[in-house]
Amino acid sequence: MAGAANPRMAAPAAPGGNVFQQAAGLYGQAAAGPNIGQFMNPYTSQVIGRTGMDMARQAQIAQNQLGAQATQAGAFGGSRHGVAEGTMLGDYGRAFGDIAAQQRQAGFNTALSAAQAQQGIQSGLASQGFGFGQQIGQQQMQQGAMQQMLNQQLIDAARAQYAGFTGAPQQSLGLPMAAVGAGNMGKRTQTQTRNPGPFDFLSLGAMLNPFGGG
Amino acid sequence: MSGGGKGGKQTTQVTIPAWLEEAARRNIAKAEDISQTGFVPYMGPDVAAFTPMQQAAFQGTNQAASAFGLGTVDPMAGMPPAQNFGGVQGYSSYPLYNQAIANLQATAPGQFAALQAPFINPQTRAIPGAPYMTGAQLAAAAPAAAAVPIVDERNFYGRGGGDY
Repeated sequence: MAGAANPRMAAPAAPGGNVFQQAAGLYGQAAAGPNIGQFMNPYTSQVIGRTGMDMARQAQIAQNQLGAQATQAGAFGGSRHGVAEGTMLGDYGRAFGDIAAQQRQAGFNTALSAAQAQQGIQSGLASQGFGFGQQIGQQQMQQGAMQQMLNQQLIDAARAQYAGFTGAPQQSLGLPMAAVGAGNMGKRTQTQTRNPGPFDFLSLGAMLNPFGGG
Repeated sequence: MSGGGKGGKQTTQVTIPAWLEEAARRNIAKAEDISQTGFVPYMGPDVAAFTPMQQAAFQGTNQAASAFGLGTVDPMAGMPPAQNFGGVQGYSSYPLYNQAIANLQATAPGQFAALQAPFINPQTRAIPGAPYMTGAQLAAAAPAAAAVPIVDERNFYGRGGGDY
């Protein structure tokens, strides 16, 4: 009993699969409910049997004493002796039944508590394992994104350079055009020459006529 | 500039002062020369490389994944080898650019030649051929132009060999 290995206690499962598979397994075990049988003391029946044997021996001793008393009273084998012996054995029987029931209930309650505790641990480990896996996955994704972004920056830079090469002829037009424009900018002299024709007085009259269009 | 009245004429003339005209000519000639420089690619680093500490973090994540049975790869797989630029670890886009230019030259040599034609030779500084040479270059090269082998891009522009 004490210190001995519990033959009903299953050996811990060897870790297999990745953290998600292990977490899923633990979750399934926790969801299945507390495994009480795993924690039931396999020696309970032996303990109860031993208790029964002890009580039977005590009952035998009590029966002998009762017989001796009945003999002294000259009542051995009589009806009163029979009633007393029956009552005494009945008491022992009920007492043994109570003790056996208490022992079995105590064993069940202990196993239930242990199984519920294990269920809680399984549930916690399942959640923890899933969280670990998620965190690692996210970190891998984040680091991969950093590397992909770096590669993308290189590609973008190369594309910009390529655009610079292919656009260079067009770009080269800008400087001479700017130079041509700069040659005229704000540095010009404007001369107006007016050569009125022989009938230009008509337009003058039209301008002076308040009713006419001009 | 607008017409005057019937039979009349109005002319607006724009004249450039002589002192400015000469300067403008020089400026335009200089601009034309400069415009023949051509594209100068940047060959230095564009992006800083991951530091050793970052690489250690990658490795740590890898080891954590391995410990929990998750898939792992070499953390730096898929990354080009970082180069040393004056003590700075970095990546340059120049090799990618160079490859793209080489692909262009291989697959579209006519376009490639046309894109380079307006510019000086990057190695020898030789001036571009007609019709891109300008001013004094064109005049100086005119006698020799006839002797210059006809380059492929003449067909690209639909010009005869005489233009070159």
